[in-house]
Amino acid sequence: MAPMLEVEHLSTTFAEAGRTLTVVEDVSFSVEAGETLGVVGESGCGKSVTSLSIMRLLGSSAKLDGSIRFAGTDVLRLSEKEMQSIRGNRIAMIFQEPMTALNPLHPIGRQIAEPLRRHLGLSRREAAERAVHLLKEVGIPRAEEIAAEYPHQLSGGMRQRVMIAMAMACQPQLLIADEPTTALDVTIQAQILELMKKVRQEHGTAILLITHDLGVVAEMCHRVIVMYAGQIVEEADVQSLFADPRHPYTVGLLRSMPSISGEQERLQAIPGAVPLLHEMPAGCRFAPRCSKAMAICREQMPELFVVSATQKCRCWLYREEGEA
Amino acid sequence: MSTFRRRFRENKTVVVCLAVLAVLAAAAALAPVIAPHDPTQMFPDHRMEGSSGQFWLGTDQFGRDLFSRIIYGARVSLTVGLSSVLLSAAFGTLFGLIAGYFGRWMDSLIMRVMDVLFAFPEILLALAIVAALGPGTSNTILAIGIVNIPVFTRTVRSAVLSVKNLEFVESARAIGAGTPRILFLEIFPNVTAPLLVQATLAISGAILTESALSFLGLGIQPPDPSWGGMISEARRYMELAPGMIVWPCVAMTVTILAFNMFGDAVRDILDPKHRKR
Repeated sequence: MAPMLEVEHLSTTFAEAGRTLTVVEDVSFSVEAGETLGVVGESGCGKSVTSLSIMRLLGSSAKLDGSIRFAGTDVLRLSEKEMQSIRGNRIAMIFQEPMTALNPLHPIGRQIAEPLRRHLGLSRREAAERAVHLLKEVGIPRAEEIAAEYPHQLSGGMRQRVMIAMAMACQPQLLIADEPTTALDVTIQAQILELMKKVRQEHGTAILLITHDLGVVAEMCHRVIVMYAGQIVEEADVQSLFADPRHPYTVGLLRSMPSISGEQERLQAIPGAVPLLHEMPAGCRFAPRCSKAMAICREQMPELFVVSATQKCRCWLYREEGEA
Repeated sequence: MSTFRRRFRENKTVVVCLAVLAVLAAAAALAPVIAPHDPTQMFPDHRMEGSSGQFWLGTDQFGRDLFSRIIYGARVSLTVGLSSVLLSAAFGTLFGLIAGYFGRWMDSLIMRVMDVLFAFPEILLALAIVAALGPGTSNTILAIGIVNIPVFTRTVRSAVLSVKNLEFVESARAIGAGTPRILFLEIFPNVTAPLLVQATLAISGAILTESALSFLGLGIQPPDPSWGGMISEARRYMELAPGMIVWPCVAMTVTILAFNMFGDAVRDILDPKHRKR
């Protein structure tokens, strides 16, 4: 079966004040129906820009190269009108901040009914009924009353549920969740993840989960890509990633995560900071912060070497393995 | 919305101003019923008289009833005030939404044109427009409407700038909303508060400008009564019949005071930064 979403050699470039900044460079991945792909990396590594590129929501200053195939059609070739009929209908998005992602002046029910009326052509009444039904489905009590309330009357967790109800309204084939649990406290996080799993199971939705929380990845994802400074540095299934991380950056990420079972040891931070977009090093972008950097790392950019059946890694350490 | 209404009712200034404005509006709307005389009818035997049972506020130099003229004048003032503000608010909102949302050259173009309009003194620009179009009620409305467009454009544009990058706008785009929808259904409702305040305050300015134009003889044309025109005519008889100039002035002062205080109070209610407690 063809993947639901297939991104090939995607590069996103912004032209600003005479110079061009490449924020996402040569990124390729695919997500199948019912599968969850995690995209991990620290702030500014291009995770969100990748997802906004797929939705084509970046505006005219962004230039997209490569191909993004969604259910067989190249998204980059569609007109803005055709794109509008896909957004919220076949591809939906959940945003990070449930506090600001809802319009404060429209009642909840009306906001959920919006995509239903637009994409499915439901009447005002049908859409309102469906909205109440969707609210019940995402576990909101007193759905009829809540539908008439305004966003400020709800808690953060409730609002994120509303966002999910809104995203799921037209039963999209692909759900892009951009840090859906970052703004929520831990118990609510678990409930929201559980809800997303339920959605995935019932509708076979493909999910692209963008996060910097490795705990969320372990909980939700089948496969993971790790991004650093706009590139994919490691791609693996979730077991391999945690059991046998290959790229020094992935190793560093895992070390900087506290564990409940382990002894009280100091968390290890990765020294240094992500290089600025217009001051990228010539060789491997992680080389200046890498403890295992070799001479070649500072001169030549490594490729994404295949290190096992389920794992790829952009690091010179795996060159022989990759070629063999 | 219920908190808004409650805050509205609790504010005494708002209630008093609203009552004054309601009386004025009722008088203006029901002028033919309330006015004891036809505002243009002359009583040659009763010229420049003081208050009496027949003429409540006295008469002018042609023996016309001042009270009736003031009531009909309120009609003119309120009509010009409201319709010109409606006109400038409509265009100002449209320009402000476009300039703020699209930005770049569109923004520069619209705002520079507004800057040019802004550079003229209000009265001078209104005078020029009336001079070009000719005097009369509808041209007065048009002139005052055009003069006030820049204020509304700026108000709306700045509000749009603060709203357009909020996540709910992006989230609306992510559910497939097109530009007009985002502009008018997502962003516009979020700029109505400053717009409302600006509109209330602009009405008194518009009434003043109308009076000034009429005072200079370029606004409402005689024999139709307007406060500015009445004051202008009364100037010559100030010593003989002070009532002729006092009463229109009182009417105008009360109206403008009511609109200004109402506008301030509405701002206090709508703007969280001005809110006490």
